Amino acid sequence: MREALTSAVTTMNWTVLGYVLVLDTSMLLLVLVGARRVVTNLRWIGAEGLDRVFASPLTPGVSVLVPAHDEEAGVLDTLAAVLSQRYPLLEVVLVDDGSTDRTFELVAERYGLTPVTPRWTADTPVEGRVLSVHRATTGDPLTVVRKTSVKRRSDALNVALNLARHPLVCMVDADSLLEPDALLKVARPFIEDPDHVVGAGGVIRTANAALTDRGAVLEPRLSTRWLVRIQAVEYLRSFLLGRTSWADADALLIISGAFGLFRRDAVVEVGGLDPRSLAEDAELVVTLQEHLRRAGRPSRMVFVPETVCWTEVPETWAVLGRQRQRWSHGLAQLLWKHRRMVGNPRFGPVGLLALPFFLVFELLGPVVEVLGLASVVVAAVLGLLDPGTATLMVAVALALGVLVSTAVVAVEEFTFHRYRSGADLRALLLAGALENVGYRQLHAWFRLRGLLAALARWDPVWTAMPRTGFTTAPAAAEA
Amino acid sequence: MTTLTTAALVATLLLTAAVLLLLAAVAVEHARRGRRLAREERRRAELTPQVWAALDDDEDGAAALAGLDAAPAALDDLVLDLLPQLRGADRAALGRLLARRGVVTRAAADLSARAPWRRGRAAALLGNAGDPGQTDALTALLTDRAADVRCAAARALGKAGDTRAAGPLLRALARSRRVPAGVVGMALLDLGTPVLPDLRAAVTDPPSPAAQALAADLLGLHGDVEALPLLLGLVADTRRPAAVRGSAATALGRIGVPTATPALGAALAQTAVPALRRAAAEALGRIGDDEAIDLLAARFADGDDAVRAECADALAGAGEEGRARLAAHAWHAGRVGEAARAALSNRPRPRDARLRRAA
Amino acid sequence: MTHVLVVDDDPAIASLVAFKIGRLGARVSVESDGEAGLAAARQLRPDLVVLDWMMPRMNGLEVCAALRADPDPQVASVPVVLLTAKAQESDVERGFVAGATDYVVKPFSPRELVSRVTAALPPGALTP
Repeated sequence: MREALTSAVTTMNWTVLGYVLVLDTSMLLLVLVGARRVVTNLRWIGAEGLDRVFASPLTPGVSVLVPAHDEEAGVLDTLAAVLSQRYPLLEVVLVDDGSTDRTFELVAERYGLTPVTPRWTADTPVEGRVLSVHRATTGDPLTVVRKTSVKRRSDALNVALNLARHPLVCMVDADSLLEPDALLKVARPFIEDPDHVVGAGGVIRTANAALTDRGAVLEPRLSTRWLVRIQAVEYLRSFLLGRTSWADADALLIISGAFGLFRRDAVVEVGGLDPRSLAEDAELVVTLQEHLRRAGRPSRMVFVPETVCWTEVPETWAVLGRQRQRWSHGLAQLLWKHRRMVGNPRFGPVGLLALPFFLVFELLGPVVEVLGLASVVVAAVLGLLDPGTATLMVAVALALGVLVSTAVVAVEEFTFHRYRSGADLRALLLAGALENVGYRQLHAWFRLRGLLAALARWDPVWTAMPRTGFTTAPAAAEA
Repeated sequence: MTTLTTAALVATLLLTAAVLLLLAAVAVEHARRGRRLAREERRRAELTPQVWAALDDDEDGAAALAGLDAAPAALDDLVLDLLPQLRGADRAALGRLLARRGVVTRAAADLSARAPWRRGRAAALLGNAGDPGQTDALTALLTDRAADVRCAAARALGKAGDTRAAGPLLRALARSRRVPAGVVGMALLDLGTPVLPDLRAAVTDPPSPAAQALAADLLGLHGDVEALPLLLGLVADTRRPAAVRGSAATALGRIGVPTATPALGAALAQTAVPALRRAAAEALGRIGDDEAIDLLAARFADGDDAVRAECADALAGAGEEGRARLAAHAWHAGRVGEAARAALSNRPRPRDARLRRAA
Repeated sequence: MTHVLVVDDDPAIASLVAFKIGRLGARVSVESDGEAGLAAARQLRPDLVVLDWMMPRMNGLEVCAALRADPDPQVASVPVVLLTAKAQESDVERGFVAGATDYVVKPFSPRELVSRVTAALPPGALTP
């Protein structure tokens, strides 16, 4: 009996170690591939013809869809950022998704909203009831829809989709700030490869504590909270470099809900966003890939690492836990719904590379990590652990993890270097190291809970994150 | 010690060394960049007034220009940043300054570099410098193996302003290595009205349907009245692809001459393709001819939502008479009434509203 | 002495425009964002403003509308030349509705801009 337990625990220990090493090595690989692409893209800066895209009357119009549920803290900033985009032709459709705060009143006052009869452009099914539609009288191309909430972001986006008039739709969260050139940069692939590009995403960065003014990020600053700092490194790794290299392999699975641009006809064709999904952003990308491959229409999902959308991230463990649980739950739903694509060569790199990776490392990863941690504890209690060997193995895993995080910060410093102060840079490096102890393990626990929730088929409920709003820069001193 | 623990120890040490190396690199980079940026800014501040002075036509300008021959390389960056924002004589003067300093020659050599970004950057630079001697080299780049470079070459040809590029640009639309219509179109717009004859020729004797559609679009954007007969013929020509006829219809709307009303009305009434009917309805709305009201009202019950909406919008923009027709429909239940109400409420005479606010 | 205020967030453009207008004997002040531009216009009461549209902290259109609504009649009637990369027909319309005197699209000819600035000022204000 004891022998069987010993061998089980020992096997588990080694499996976990091997698993962590393989995962971190692939992370390092993703970081390096992503870094290469970022460097190449930076070499083109100034020669990509953005000024021509902006000046051209042939540039396709964009409908920016903004779902907002109780977003009074940030909605005016977000709208200001979207409406001052450097883009030739755009409209904004804001959906007030049953807000109980002053979201609508603030917008109505700022933009002088007046009720209008809506012009529907699609019939994507919607569950919430549309109460009224309004238009700005300030000359800004803004439409606002009020609807009853069914507590799902996808429902709000589908209503907005039904009102969008332009050939491209951009989905932006109401707690996110777009940089002035963001739309122009993500729209460029649609102009340069109009036959294939169906979706494009940009980089999401953490906006907490950044200095902003009416929707413009004046100076990115790192929050003083370690939890936010760690997420800053995490976002750089996964959302900047990770997605860049996935897109490079033509296997991009996720275009973040905080900022993504799609061809409207394609989104309408697949019936809008899946109302039951908790990860409706990733879900849309995979559905589009599946649909278009099945229809024999070649398509591309692009990632533009130069584009930036600033977003607020959770500042407390509790909120972070809920968010990550939801992501993991959504990923499980997604992989289950599209299980026929996993490992299927018909779907190219998405089926062969990305989906299996997400299944093994993103979805099941937490199981292995949590069980592994437990097995190490058990082994220690049973005295099966040789302290010397164990320390060494933990050291290897830690060193590899720290190397990945340091490489991420190094790439950021050598390429975009958004954080100008040396103190922020040091904090970022330290946060990268700290991510490996504590954060990573708790994160695995949150994700495990999401997976369990998915297995138990808990009814998905979209819980909003408490917003703090953006840090506004003090008014410039009177000249 | 087993081999495994030794391997782990070595791995840990190597990884730690790599981390330390990266940290050192980051520290050095961070410190050096600050100094480098400050130095560049200083240089720019010194050079800027000299460059502005060199733009003058008089003797002082010539002297300032000669003084810049030996200026540091920061000058080139300064000029290159500014060039895309300028046009006219001052832009030409800055282009000549770059040529004098050998920047143009170096870029021309870079057009055959191995790295695509080098070729692309070189093309962009040559386009901004506007040297007509480079047209052939840039034209050759329209068939480059990298799509990014082809687009950069097309944009550069547009900016350089040599009208000889019009033909090759139109032909680049339909090749296995093609340049997309959005990029070619903007380049042709950059070439301006001197290429109108090329565009008209592309409508009558098209190298490809894509070129024909784009040429029609651009003639419309230019508001080229001379192209009217060609475009009228194109809209009416049922053998042409619907996309091409749609472009011609849109162009006729942009030109805005009521002569086009009957042809557009016929396209609206007789075509099976909704996209073409939509284009025709929108064009009629833009022209705003009273003759079109009956045609639009007749198609107002069109089975296609978008066509109906376009007809309703056109009527809403067609003065009292058009709005009266719409109002008659607005009481209906169902989609037709909905479209009428939407069109009426979406055009509450926006101009008046805005003017009132401004006052 | 004629006083011109140039508001543009691109320092190279601002300094070029300031240089060109300065050559004609005008006093030129430069601001790099909308809010500072508006404050400067109220305080300095210039004879003309050259204004960019897309700028941080208040865009040019908002500045223009705020100038027109200013209680000080000299500020409210100051000629404003918009200098912007926004080139669509509807943008030009919006610019004039907001109260612009003239509208110059980037890429621009500095010489043409100077002519337009001269034309927007009373005769003899600048000496070409």
